[in-house]
Amino acid sequence: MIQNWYEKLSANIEQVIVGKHEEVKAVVATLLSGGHVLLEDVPGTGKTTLARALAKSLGLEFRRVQFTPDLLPSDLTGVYVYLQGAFEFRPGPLFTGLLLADELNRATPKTQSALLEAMQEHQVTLEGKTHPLPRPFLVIATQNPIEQEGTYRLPEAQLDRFSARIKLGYPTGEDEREMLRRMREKSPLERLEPVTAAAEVLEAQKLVRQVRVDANLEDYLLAIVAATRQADGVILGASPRAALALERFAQALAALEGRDYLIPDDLKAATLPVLAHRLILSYEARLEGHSAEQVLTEILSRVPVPVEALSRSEV
Amino acid sequence: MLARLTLFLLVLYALPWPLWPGLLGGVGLFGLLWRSRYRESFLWFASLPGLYHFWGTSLQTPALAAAFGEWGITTIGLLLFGASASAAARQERWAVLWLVPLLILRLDGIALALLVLAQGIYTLERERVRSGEVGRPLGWNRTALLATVGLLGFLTLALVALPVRVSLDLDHYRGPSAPVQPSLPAPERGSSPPGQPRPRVIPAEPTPFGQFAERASQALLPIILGLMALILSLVALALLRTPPGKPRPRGIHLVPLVAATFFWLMLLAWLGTHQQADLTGTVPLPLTGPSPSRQEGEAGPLPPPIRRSVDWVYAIGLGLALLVMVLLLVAVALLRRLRDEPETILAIATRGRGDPPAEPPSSRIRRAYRHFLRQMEGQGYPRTSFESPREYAARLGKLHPVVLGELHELTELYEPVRYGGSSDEARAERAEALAESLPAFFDGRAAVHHPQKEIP
Repeated sequence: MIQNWYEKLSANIEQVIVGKHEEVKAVVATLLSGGHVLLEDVPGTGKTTLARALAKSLGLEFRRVQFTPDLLPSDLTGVYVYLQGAFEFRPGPLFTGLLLADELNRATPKTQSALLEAMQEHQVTLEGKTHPLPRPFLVIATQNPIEQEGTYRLPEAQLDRFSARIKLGYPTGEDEREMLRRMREKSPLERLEPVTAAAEVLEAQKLVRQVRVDANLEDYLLAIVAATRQADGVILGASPRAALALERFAQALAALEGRDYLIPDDLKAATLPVLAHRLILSYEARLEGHSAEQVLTEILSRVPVPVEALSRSEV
Repeated sequence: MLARLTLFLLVLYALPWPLWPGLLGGVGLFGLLWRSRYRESFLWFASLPGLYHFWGTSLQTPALAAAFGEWGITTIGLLLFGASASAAARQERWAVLWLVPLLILRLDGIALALLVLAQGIYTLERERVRSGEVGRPLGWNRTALLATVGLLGFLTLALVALPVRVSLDLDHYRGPSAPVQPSLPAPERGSSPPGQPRPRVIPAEPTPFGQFAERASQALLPIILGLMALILSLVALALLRTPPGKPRPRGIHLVPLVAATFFWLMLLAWLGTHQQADLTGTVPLPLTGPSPSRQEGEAGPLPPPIRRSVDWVYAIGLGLALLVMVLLLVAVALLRRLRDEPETILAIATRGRGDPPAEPPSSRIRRAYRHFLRQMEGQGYPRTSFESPREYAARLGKLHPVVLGELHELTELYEPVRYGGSSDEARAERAEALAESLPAFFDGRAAVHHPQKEIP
């Protein structure tokens, strides 16, 4: 069921985004796992277009916030205004189905932190009153590499709340040519129609949680997470929240392939997008040119996969 | 091929010619079973070809001991040859060294030279295959160069420089022309002095009933051994008639247990007869000619009669030891199975008495995949511990793109069982067929080893 749903959705999105099948899949998996996405790459690689195409295809309300150094927390959450003798709540752009937080790391840490409660609890508290956010709620934040001018490094607590970090990268030569041809007359984004609705997304999220996880695969997952905490050159490994996100993301990948059970490959495919942005490497390791992706790849090549034990009792 | 021929020559040379019919029969059986689904199953049946030495042997201790000796050496020779040839098929580096124990039977320059020759030829053949795999000329291969230089050097040294004893005289293996005198002292065990005859044995107090019992006993041993040989031969035939790709015969996993029990029983009986012969002072000499019962009617002075007696304590002790051994083996097998397939044991425990022994499809698929992994490991393509079934199938598929589809099919049959807990009968049969047939595509290719790294 989810597989067919995803194929329709993917085909629709790929009318706009060319040659990014795996990246689209990762974004949809994050949505189904109930998490949020951090899209990281240099400007102009299609981050905003992907978010808009996804929102349109899902039939969700879409808001975009351009994060700047002078953006205030209330610009996100909303404010109470005094109107005709009473305070009335004017909801901010957080109250939407899909929020695109563009260039998140250009805002100050204070404003970035305003997203924390909304992303984790799916609610906003103002003046002692709690306002629930609509469901489904997905934050797609884009981030430029931190070496660029005028950027603030996202705090670890903020990073940990993003289920996955996905890098779009440049398209290949042929994909870029195809993109030029499609965009020549009119942007396909404008004529994109929804292929699903919020209720179906919520139903798919429920089904993802029912994907079976074998006890040995739980051990495998925990071994990967534990290895990140003991790896050389890592000063902050994956958190328990990361373990939860890893399982959910892998479950979503399994469901997108039409399976109701997890396999080791789902966990392997989920490891880099889910864990890479949560690891903090030591200064020495970074000086030596190591990256979190390298550390995780090394871990995946050392942790034994649960398959069959070759005892000698069988013929 | 040349390496296997050299191995066989070494076995032939080490063992005396009266044992050659058994050796040739055994090697024929080896060749037949090599084409079966269990290519190394010959090792289960290595004790069969030597059984012809018991033909016409009476239950007299010296005669039995002689027959057991001939059977034992034939069997050991075949076992060592089988182990060596199997190791060579797996491209193990020192496969020929399995034959080193044969030097105890005949330690001379030729035997040693044959051993080195076999190892040298085998190393060169192995390196030729490996060089072909990596596309490198054999001449630049360091191991091949070392093997060639070492081989030539040793052969020159062995045949020219060293004062090695070359023994081509086979007369000392032949039987005596005259029986031994009764007062001959017992010779040293394992030795084979030339010209020494085997003592003659006559029945004590030849009453009519005793004569009947003696004749019956002559038939009893061949009947028991023949029955055992028949059972094992039928099993071997069942293996031969089941081509790769077909479901394996039910209960085949018990064959090694039965074969091993038979082999140990024979070895213990051999030791028992040898000990009895020692006590009576008439140690038979294995490999020195036909057994005493075949010499009846010959002229010459007769040795004193040996009283037949049954050592009941010995028999009961032997029986108990065997029983304990079999029970231990069964317990170990059950424990391993319980560890590997708890659901199977549960199914057996909860099954009614009248129900047919049905194995759940999930167990069959997991067993088939394990079999596939083990076969691939034997072929030199082991799964590395960090590879998932899909990654493993993809790696194997790169080596043999023809079977890439089948490899992924087997993986997709296995995954839902291992990680999803579901399966059905048809999928189990397909998985078994694939697990049997796929390893054959990887036969004879050099191993691609990956570094095996694990978190302790």
